[in-house]
Amino acid sequence: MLEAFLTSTMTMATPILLAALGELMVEESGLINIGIEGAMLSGAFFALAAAYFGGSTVLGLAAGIGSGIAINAIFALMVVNLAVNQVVAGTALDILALGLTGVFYRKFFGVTGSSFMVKSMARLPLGPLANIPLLGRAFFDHNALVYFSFALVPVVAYMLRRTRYGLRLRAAGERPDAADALGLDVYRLRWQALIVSGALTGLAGAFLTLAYANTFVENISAGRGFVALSVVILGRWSSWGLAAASILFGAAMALQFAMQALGTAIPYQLFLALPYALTVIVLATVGGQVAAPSALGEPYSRS
Amino acid sequence: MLAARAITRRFGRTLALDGVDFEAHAGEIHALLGENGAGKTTLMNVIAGATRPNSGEVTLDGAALNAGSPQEALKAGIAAVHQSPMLFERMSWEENLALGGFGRRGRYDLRAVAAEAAALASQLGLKLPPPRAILEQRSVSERVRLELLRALSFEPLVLILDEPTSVLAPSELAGFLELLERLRAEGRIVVWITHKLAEARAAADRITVLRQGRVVARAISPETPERELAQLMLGELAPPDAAAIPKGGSGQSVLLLDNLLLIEDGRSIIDGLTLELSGGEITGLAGVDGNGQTELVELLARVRTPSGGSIRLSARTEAAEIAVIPQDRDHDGLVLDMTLWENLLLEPGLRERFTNGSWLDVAKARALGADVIARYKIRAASPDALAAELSGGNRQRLEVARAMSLKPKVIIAHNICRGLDLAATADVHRALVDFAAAGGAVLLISSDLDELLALCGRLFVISRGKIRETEPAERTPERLGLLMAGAWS
Ligand SMILES: Nc1ncnc2c1ncn2[C@@H]1O[C@H](COP(=O)(O)OP(=O)(O)O)[C@@H](O)[C@H]1O
Ligand SMILES: [Mg+2]
Repeated sequence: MLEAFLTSTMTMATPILLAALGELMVEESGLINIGIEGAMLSGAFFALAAAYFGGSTVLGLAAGIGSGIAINAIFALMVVNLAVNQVVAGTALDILALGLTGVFYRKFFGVTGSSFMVKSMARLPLGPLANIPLLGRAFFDHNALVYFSFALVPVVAYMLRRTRYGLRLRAAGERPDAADALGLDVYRLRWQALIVSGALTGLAGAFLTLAYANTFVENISAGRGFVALSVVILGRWSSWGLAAASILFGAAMALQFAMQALGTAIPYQLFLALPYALTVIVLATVGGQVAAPSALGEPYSRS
Repeated sequence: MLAARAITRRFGRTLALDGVDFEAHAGEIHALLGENGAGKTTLMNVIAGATRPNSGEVTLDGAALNAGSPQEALKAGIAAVHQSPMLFERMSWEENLALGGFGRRGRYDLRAVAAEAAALASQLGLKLPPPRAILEQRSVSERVRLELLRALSFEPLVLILDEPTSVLAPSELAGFLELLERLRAEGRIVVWITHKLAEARAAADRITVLRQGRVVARAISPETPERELAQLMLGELAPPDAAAIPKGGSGQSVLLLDNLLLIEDGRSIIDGLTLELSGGEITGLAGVDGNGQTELVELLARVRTPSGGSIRLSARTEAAEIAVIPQDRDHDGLVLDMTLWENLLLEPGLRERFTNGSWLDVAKARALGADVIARYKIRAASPDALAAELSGGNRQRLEVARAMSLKPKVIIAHNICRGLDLAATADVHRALVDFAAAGGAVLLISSDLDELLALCGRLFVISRGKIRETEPAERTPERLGLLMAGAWS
């Protein structure tokens, strides 16, 4: 029981962590991308479509990444080059992705409701580690994306705090005008952050269809993009904090399954609401102005 | 040779630069002199690539620079130190310098950046903050020094300094001039933007004067008499005379600071400060930045609570009758992306006056804005102009106007004329003097001795959080300089 709970926690944490790490880079560069939900959803859809019709998981992952990048490129064009309000642009993309994936799904896969399953991504047990009692199955017997997302945590931490590139990215989010005066290309830095984030968010979406549900249903991301946004706040804009917060949200989702399985008298809808309630509580209490980049969400255009 | 030719730049309806030609030669300190709003900063931004001109071009040694590209300007060797520091406040000073020319090669290592910076700083006689210190906790003058250091890290052929001395303490000035002379000896070009005549005459090899976006005197000699330069800067307007200064107050005490204490992290910042302010008088408080002035202002503004002692109002004074004008006006005093009239209403007393029930009387507030524009000679298109569109002097006029509109009994003003030109300084001084003459009490906290000596009845010196009243015999710049350096505390 506990093993299943821990395994499920890691599985649920993975897409959130992937999306949150991408969003962290975007926010350090000074943008806030509410469209992350839409990028995840389209990643989920196109990953499934490519994997189903192309018959290959790798093709599916590539399509997920590609569509995440495409959605973020539209966002970048709007907010970086045209200085559109970021909340408006992000919300528009969320609605667009929800509508388009729904329409495409019915068009490509018919309205019969019969599910189009794909093979789940292969598990890669990590040798003897996977044989440790209890913990082995829970932490070291997952597919490659789970390992990848957690391996990314120190990489992003290092990139942001210990490299010249990370310093420049943070400079763009701290004071874009000063970064510009020092010869940094703020537009390019922000585009780069959004492209990387698009890839990671698309991958998070692909994880949902190729490794978790093995099929697509409308709105399969179900707010996980928004959860990733609050994970960035709860994690205080630190990669390690993001990992911890993702696990917390993953655990809340896993708990909901465990409780359903146990068949308690409490209506299961209450547990379904748990992660969302946690999001609201986090946003309302932690706030997070102190650790946020100074120019977060402010449109910037060169004079 | 640096040359800007026929530069024109418009901001909406404002013609900031109108066909400006400017030239500076290798190995000279060239002063760019002008009133507030004359277009000096805009010209600097055009040269440094931060602002794209509507027309005209900039060349360095004959090669034209790509307009509006800071990268290219930096690569060509043009570095600028801005009037309000272009720094990353939430980062450490090492990170700020790493974004400049320090530690650009090899592995990214902040210790290497600090070492390179320390080497340059010790050559220049500048002191660096402690390792890893975050900028927002450092003083304004420290930040300006860091920005200067960062600009020098690019080893620029052209160094443009926008009003650098307005944030330097008098004691730092000599070292600063020495530094500029060294740069000149190395064959670099120093463009020094200032509105202080005396400074330009003392240090520059040649002077170019801007007035309302036009060059009115090109590369003239620093021997040009002050009066003549003032005429060039101000046009027909002669520099205003100092108004009649009320000395010796009415004796009516309005505010008493009694043995005030502020202790932070075990350090005493304000150390047993006792001071009585009375109506009809400007009381001066001289000091080098960072000796507790900022904290004192925050105590008086009730942003902080004292660790001991008290701030007592006389029976007829209310807390709302103390108006505070803080020094860092962009951060503390004005909200730049609000309009002029909205900024006036940031003052609770004024907001109350323009509120009916829960409705704001916008028309009346606008009318006050228009009145303030006329009365305090604020150069703004309308009360709906954003504070961000105002030049430094006009922002300061707006702050003074807001404080005065409250009809307070006490005004606390901190470095109120820092960075202002002659006309704005005179206007602000006159407003303070008129206020005192009408029975108000003023506490003028400043590091500008000329200002203090000209305006103040009683004059105190603050050093390490302690204050001391000066005797009339001590009121010479030399003696006051020693006292400010803490010769007694
Ligand atoms: N970004 C801007 N937007 C609108 N007006 C501006 C802007 N920058 C400068 N101005 C206007 O251009 C004129 C010249 O300003 P500036 O170059 O800052 O003068 P100075 O540095 O000599 O005080 C002023 O009237 C100012 O209000
Ligand atoms: Mg200026």
